[in-house]
Amino acid sequence: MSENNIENIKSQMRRGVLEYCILSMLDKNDAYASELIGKLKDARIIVVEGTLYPLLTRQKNQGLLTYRWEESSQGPPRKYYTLTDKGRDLLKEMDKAWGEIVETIDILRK
Amino acid sequence: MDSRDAGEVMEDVEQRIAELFYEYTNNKSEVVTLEVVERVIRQLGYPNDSEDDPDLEETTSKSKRRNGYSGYERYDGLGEKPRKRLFRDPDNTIIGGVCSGLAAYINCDPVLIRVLAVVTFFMGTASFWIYIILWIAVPMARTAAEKLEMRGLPVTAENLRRFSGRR
Repeated sequence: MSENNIENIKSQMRRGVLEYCILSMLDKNDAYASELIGKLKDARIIVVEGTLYPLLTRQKNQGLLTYRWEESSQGPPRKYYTLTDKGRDLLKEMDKAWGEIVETIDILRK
Repeated sequence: MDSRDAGEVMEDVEQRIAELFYEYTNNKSEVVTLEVVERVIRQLGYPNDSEDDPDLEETTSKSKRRNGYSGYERYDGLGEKPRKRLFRDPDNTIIGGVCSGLAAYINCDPVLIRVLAVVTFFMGTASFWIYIILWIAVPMARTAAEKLEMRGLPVTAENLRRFSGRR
């Protein structure tokens, strides 16, 4: 299998998990995009920030999250993202699904 | 992703860029150096790093195809209509770039104009003098913006980038 193919599979896995990551982060507290980026980078799931913005917009349009404008001490106001009820419901579903996936891998690895 | 979403995403990205510029210049300097720009680009990635979005790559290639004129942005019907001016074409000269400039102006193949010019040279001296006068009177398209005007293409950031890259 070529290097390229491996990268492709990896990025597909990340892509699937990334939406889940965003919802989980917003479950605890609301956040600015820059905070989300910081955490995602620390967790090493995204490398470039540009990938996050289309995702946030899509999730907002799907009604999973909303934002409000918040003044910041420096610079212009920023978007402050919050999970909606719909987003919370989906997150519960995904938590369950995630548990199942982890379990599956555990079983298969034995 | 439809165009409304794209606009919103662009706004987010622009805002982030502004934020990073602000941060990296330490509020001390008003100057954004090339180094800072490159650092921000590395951090944000390129539009075709479509890690999260398989549709994205497709949209980019689609819009490239739609543009025609070897990939340049055309006038989109909004804002100021691009001016078209007669220039001599410095990238495509045989004698003075008059014929290629004319060809760009009326949007046809420079070879056609050259053949016509040579034919009329043999028919009398008038066309020779017209060529000389045009050579003197018509300015060379020196900047990327002038080269775009020569072809009647809008002077947008994207077109300028493509043109400057061609040198």
